[in-house]
Order: sequence, then structure tokens, then C-alpha cells
Amino acid sequence: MDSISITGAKIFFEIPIFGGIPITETQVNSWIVMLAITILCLVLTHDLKVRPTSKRQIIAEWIVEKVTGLVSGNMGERFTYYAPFICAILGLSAFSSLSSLLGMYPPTADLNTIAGWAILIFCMITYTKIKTSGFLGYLKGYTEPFALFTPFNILSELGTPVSMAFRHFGNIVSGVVISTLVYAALASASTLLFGWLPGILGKIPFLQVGIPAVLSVYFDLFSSCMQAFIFSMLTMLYIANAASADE
Amino acid sequence: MSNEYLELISLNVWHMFATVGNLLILTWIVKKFLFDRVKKVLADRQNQVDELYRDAEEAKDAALKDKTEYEAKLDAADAEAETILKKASARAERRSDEIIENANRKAEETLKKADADIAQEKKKAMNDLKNEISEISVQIAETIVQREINEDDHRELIDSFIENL
Repeated sequence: MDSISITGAKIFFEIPIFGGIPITETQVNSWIVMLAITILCLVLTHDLKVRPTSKRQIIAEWIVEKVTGLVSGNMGERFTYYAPFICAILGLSAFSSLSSLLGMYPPTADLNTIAGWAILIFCMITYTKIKTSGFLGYLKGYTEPFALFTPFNILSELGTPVSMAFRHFGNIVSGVVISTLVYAALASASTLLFGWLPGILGKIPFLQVGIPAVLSVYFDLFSSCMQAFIFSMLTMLYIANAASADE
Repeated sequence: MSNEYLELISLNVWHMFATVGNLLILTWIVKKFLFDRVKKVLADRQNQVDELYRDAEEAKDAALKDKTEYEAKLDAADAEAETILKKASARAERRSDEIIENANRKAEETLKKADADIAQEKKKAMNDLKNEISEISVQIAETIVQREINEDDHRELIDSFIENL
């Protein structure tokens, strides 16, 4: 029986500066996804008309209106300028996770990707809080309701990005892990059941046909879109909450 | 190409930076190539719709204005027609009055003239009569003068004269 190894992204090569920066599948696939989204944007918004004649334009308008509506609905009208950012997170997360459907290594299965996003969002939350209630007000917020709570408040503040990152990462990577395990298990089961067949027939993993597709619908399609949506929702709610803390 | 793999859970600061950079770049792309473009078109459409509405409103106002104008004109025309009619009928009445008056006057004149004529005729007849009487008297006188008149003849003459009157 083959040994199963579950690893992170494949390292293509290392840039020999700062002690070596590895360029991995995560980076390359992220760029591919970004390129795909850019092309999608360009295609959708190509030749826009005041009186729409193409489905592309209707889709583009639908996306913009939905995301803007989502952002203004969750964060309030004054935060509508966050819409492109939310749309970018939504698209990047969803398309990254969905890239596993094409057999690519999903960039969202790399903790670095999600951790980077989470840290960026943590910075935004902190910035919004300081902007809303001033630096002293921000610091004072940690002593609420009284000074004894300060350590817990700091923990919960730091817990925000960590929980966001691990929630998304965990969901996607669990899909990868379970898919890998199921594939391996089905391969073994195939060998056991059909291994007696002569020649090459015995090596075809018949059980791998069909069954993984069912899992794929959940882990790749549903979970990918769900996690992208949850991540963007949390981003909006945390930032909006940070702004309304003082109201 | 090496066959090295990262650990399943590994953290690399550079990768995080790259990810943040990727996200920010994608945000810029999405804003520039999706949101800005679509919003521009939506704004253009809104402008066009507003313009159409404004035009329609203006056209409606103009039509209403025209309508009131026409109605006023129609009312004026009605009033004018009425005055014209009134004037015409008044003139006709005056004219008929005139005609009737003329006719009356003429009839009266005719009557007067007829009366005058009659009076003159009468006068003439009277004169004729007088002339005849005097003629007769002359004849009688002649008759008297021509023959010897006795008492009886005299009486008879007078009687016959009176009888002839």
C-alpha cells in the first residue's frame, strides 16, 4: 500500500534573497486566479452601453449592485467605498478555493494566504477603531467594562484575525485532506476488489470514478463559496462594528 | 523543478506580505475595471433617465399650456361669435324697425295724400255744383226774363226750382 502524505504547497524555486523566499504553488496559483478575475472583469465590462444589450453587462451590473448592496446593507452607506475590497476578497477566496476543481492546489489551503488577509483586516479594524474613538479611546476600549478585563480583551482582539484565518483555512484544508484520504482509500479498495483482473485492468482505480465527485460538490463547490461569503461577511461586520463602537 | 513541499501548516512572513499585496492589487483591479466602469454606465443611465423624465415633464407642461391657450382662444372665439350674432340681430331688428316705420310713414303719407285728394275733389265737386247752380239760376233767370210771368207761373217756377234742387 502506498503511503499517503498530506503536505502544503509545492515549492517551485527559491529567490535567494533575505535568506530565501520560496515561490510555491500558492503564489503561482494566486497569480493565475488573479489573472482569471482580471480577465473576467475586463470581459464583463467590455463595451458597456447605457442601454444594455449583452448578458455580460447585465452580469457585471448584477455583481456590482449585489456587492454594493451587501456592503451598504451590512456596513452602512458611509462604508460603500469598501465594496471593491469586499468584492476582491469574495472573488479571490471563492475562485482560489474553486481552483481545486481544476486539479490545482487551492491557494486558500495555504495558511499564509488566509493569515495575510486576516492580518490586513485586523489592521483595518484597528484603524477604524482608532479613527472612530481616537487613540486614547481605542486603548480605553481594552479596559471595558473594567480594568480586570484587559487581558481578555486583548486576547479576544487578537483572536479575531486568528479565528478568521483558521476558520477559512481549516474548512478548505479539511476538504483537501478528506479528498486525499478518500482518493487513497478508494485506490486501495479498488486494488483489493479488482486487483485480480489481468494486466492493466487491475491497476485502474474503478472506485475513484464518481464517488469523489459527490464529495467535491460539498468541499469544493459549497464550502468554497460558503467560506468566501462567511469571510467577507465577518470582514464587513467587524469593520462596521469597529466604527459603531463609540456611537 | 524541485519536489520539495511546504509543511501543511507553515507560516512565512514573505508569503503573507505577497498575499496582502495580491489582495490589494486585486482590489485595485476590481475597482478600476469592474466597479468604476459599471458605476459610470449606471450613472450615465441615471442621467439619461432623468433627462427623459425632464423632457417628458417639459413636453407635458408645454402641452398643458397649449391646451389652456387653445381653450382661452376658443372661449374668446365663442364670445366674439356671440357678439357678432348679437350685433347682427340688433342690426337686423333696427333695420326691420326702420323698414316698418318707413312703410307706416309711407302709408300715412299716402293716406294723407288721399284725404287731401278727396278734399280737393270734394271742393272741386262743390265748386262744380256751385257753378251748375249758378248756371241753372242764370238759365232760370233767362227763362223768367224771356216770358211773361204771372202769379201762377211764378209759383210754379219756384216750386219747380225747389224741386230741382
